[in-house]
Amino acid sequence: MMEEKKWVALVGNPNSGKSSLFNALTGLRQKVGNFPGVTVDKKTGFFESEDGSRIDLIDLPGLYSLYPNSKDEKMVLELLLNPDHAFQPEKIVYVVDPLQMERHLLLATQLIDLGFPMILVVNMIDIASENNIQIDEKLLSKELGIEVISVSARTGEKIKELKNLLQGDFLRKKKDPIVALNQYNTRTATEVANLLSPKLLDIPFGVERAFHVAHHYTWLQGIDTKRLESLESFLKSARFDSLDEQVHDTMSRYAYITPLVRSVVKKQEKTNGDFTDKVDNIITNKFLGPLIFFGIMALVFQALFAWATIPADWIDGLFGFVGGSIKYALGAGWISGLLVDGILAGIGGVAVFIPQIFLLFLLLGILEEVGYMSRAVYMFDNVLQRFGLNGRSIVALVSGGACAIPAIMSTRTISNWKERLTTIMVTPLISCSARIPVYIVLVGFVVPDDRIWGFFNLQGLVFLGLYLISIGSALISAWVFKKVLKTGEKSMLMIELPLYKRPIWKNVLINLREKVWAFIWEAGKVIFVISIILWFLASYGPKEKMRLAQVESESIALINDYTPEETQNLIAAKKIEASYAGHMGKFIEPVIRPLGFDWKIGIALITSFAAREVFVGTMATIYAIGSSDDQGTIRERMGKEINQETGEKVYTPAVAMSLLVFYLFAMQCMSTLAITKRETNSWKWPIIQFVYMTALAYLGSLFVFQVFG
Amino acid sequence: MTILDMVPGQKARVIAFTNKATETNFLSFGLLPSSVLLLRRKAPFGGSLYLILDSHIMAIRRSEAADVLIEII
Repeated sequence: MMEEKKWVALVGNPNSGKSSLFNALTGLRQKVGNFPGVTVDKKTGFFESEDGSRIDLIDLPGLYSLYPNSKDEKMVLELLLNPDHAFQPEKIVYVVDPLQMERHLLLATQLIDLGFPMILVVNMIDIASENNIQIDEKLLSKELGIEVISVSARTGEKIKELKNLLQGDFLRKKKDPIVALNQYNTRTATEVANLLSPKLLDIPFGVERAFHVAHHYTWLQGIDTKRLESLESFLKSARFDSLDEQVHDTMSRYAYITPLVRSVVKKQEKTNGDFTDKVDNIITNKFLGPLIFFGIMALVFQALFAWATIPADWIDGLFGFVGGSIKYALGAGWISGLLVDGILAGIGGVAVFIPQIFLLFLLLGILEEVGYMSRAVYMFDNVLQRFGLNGRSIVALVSGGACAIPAIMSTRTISNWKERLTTIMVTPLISCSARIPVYIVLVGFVVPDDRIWGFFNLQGLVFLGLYLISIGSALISAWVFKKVLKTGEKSMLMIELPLYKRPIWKNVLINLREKVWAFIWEAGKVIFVISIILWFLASYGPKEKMRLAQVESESIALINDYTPEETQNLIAAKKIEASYAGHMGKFIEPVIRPLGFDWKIGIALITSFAAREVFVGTMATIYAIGSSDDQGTIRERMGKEINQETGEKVYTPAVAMSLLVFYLFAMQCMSTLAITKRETNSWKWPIIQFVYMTALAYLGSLFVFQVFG
Repeated sequence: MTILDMVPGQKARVIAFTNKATETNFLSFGLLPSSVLLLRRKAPFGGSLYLILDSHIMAIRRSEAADVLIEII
């Protein structure tokens, strides 16, 4: 049904402004999903033309040629070469940057020769005219034999005309291919088609497509082992050298394109590369560059602390109010418990992070849109490479400061599997926003809220230290993965550094929406389910024990003349102790004892498995505070806790430090594990991730507690 | 000599590529035999190379730079 659609695909090189054009055409009528079976973003959208007919667009990942490197690029080939692919486009809108015409036409000519009906859109025509560049559309159109239109996604110039044009059939006016297969290769391709599926020979351009299968059959999907073997032995006997043919094909195309571009593109002046060069002189300077990068990141995270906490408190307050009202309206009982402590708490736990994640991805999105992030990739590639990562990993590592989920999804641009996997494995070590509430409660036990040298806030310094440790541990873990994992795949940097440009806000906002939604949906669904399970574990227990807890706390309250509220809080505390979660806490106590944790902390560790910040709420319940709104109250209450056997305080600085280290390293986020499972397409890696991070947490806490305790 | 032998500020013309595995990538990036390139700067800590080509800028690793034979102009 939905797959029956006739897709118009947007194709082009990275940085061709393809996605801006997609945004300009579809606006908010777009959807992001995954292609079936592969984790590559599938961006689809539609618009309605003047006569009311609907045009469905699909924005394919950018690629440079039909000889792909990364997973995203390979997926495009998959989709173009497989005639049965549900998303094989009926027509192609090919997007080029007029300043980069020569390079961008390479893929265009390859697609024309695969027989795809296509039009050529010269995007960013406003920037071209700013730079006094003129494009002879007519000549280009005549030479290529396809329709050419100049538009600007930024200003909206000629977008309407383009929409009208998209209803056409895009038939090519020329018959001859731009670069034809030679006789020998035609014979090879025909045999490949025969081996693959003889019906390819009957469809137009089947032979040309079969030739590309010869290049890529080793990784293309849907080719069974038998065909794979016969293809392999045939191509060997035909002495088919893929790399040789790729170079030959590319060079023949440039031989056609270079003179064409010379007559089509009329340049009068140099482009605005001078401005970019001046900026890069400072921003990518050997010494200043890294300093500026860390300065920008410090500002971004400072903004996060300064601005995001205010709306986060509102959201927290709102959920508290709604929950209170429901409890008031329904009275105590399992329904209000499920609604408020299970469902609402789950939703609230996700919602409260939206401001931080929104702000961080907004700021990172602007940096990306103006072209800064690729400079960071350039500057840090070498350093990251020594730790087994890629320069491109920097985007994931920085995003990990907000939430590991969109961060892990951003690794799809890393073409080398080992580097991508390593990035996925270590990104959750970067302290994400869910750890912040836990840190805030615990840091107070470690150091007082004093200033040293009258300037640095001591607690602020510990906070900074925690972030530095998280980055350091991510790098060291990556280095270990580098030593352990083996791969023969080539690792590449080779990245384009686009000219700096004013951000297109529509792009920033649409990207932002995507990232925030990924968090809400991917984290939300897991947190939601676990939250309900945890509610059950914390509210129910062996019947007799639960009853005893109730009776016992009621009598204590009576003797001590508690207010009704104090009584309720005491009952809640006693009940969680008697509940299944309480039993689990006591069950794991022997294991966590060496870390300095008692069973109460054990309960919090278990409930934190939905998401780390649940720690704070659980502590509030266990210590009979009732509400987790005020982290100061929780800290105060924890500070008074006395170990009944030894008479000493439970939360010594050593215990708090040990707990901090535990939360720093432990993999306590089911949602992240779910994403790792999806991105690596196996259970193996999320399990390894869980085990190594938990081991790191346990050993780290053990060390800290034994040394300082 | 290769791009690796250049110092920042030098211009060169590409003669050929010595590694077929990276050659296609260079070609797709618009770096062709007889292309002119300027080594503009180098990243910190012995890192990547910042190249300015006729119409665009690209960054490559040292290992990738070693695959491109050039002559200084």
